[in-house]
Amino acid sequence: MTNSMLMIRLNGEEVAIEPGTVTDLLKRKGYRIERAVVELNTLLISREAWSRTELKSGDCLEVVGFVGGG
Amino acid sequence: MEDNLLVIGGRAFHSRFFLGTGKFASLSTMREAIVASGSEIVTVAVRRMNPGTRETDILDFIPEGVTLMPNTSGARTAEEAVRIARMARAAGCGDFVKIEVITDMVYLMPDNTATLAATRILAAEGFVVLPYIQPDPVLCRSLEDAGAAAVMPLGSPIGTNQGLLTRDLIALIIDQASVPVVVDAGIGRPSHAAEAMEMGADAVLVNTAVATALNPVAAARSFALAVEAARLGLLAGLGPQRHTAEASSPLTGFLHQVERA
Repeated sequence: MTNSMLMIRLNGEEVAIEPGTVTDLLKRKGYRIERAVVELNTLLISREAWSRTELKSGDCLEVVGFVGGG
Repeated sequence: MEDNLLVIGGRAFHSRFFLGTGKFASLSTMREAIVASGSEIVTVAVRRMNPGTRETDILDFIPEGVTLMPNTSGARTAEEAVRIARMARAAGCGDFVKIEVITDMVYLMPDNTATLAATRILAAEGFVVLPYIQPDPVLCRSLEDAGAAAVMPLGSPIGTNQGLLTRDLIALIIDQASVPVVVDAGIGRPSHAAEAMEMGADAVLVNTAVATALNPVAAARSFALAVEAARLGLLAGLGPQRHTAEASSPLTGFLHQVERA
């Protein structure tokens, strides 16, 4: 891990990521971004804001979507 | 039949059969079951997405025109339910939400107090709120005051197929509610669904009984027919039950009768 890596919590798991925006992260991780909903530090961030939201160390990100359920 | 429309949150629905989308063996079977059911409202759940996998997305398998009703399953408090509901709405699939707050992991009984609190918050934020509750008629009045668009009392615990164990309380709710009453959970057979509709419920929601049947598509159709048949029977104004018999055929003109001049 290089010094430029950031530690964040992604869906409950500690991960090291390259600096970048929410969009960068979702793309790099291979999320299906057209269907994702993202919460950053317990606040929803709109899809339009993803590409201008830079991640910082310690950020807590939830990426959710719909699944089958009653 | 104009008076047979179900109106929830300002939207009119022809079908009174809501289908849950959990537990289906495949998304294509789920889609076929939704089509066979004629359901216009289906529930979904909100969960963490898995990265790196090109999973097929459930939304690709929901037929056009069907209203999505995300649930807040997984919520243990009112706050968690509110958070999940907001996430669901951010997905851009509408304002409907089924509030489900559960801490009892044996019988999955919903927490009525927390559900009322979440209803108040979400209704004020413009959600169309359908709370899943233990059938308490007094709570239902509070939910209406809090802005619930319907109430969803349980028939029996989720996934048990036991039918309307709570029948008498549901009858009180139907008698007093001024919002639609949707009987949710425990409906295991078409006859259970018909029973709820004959009691005057406005709709029923089924998931497990359909999804876990050997033939889910046929099961979906069977529940839809039961709901429709019972609703039609109710609107038809069927006659009362009697203790003694009342002949269906005329009581005159019998062959053994002797005509006298």
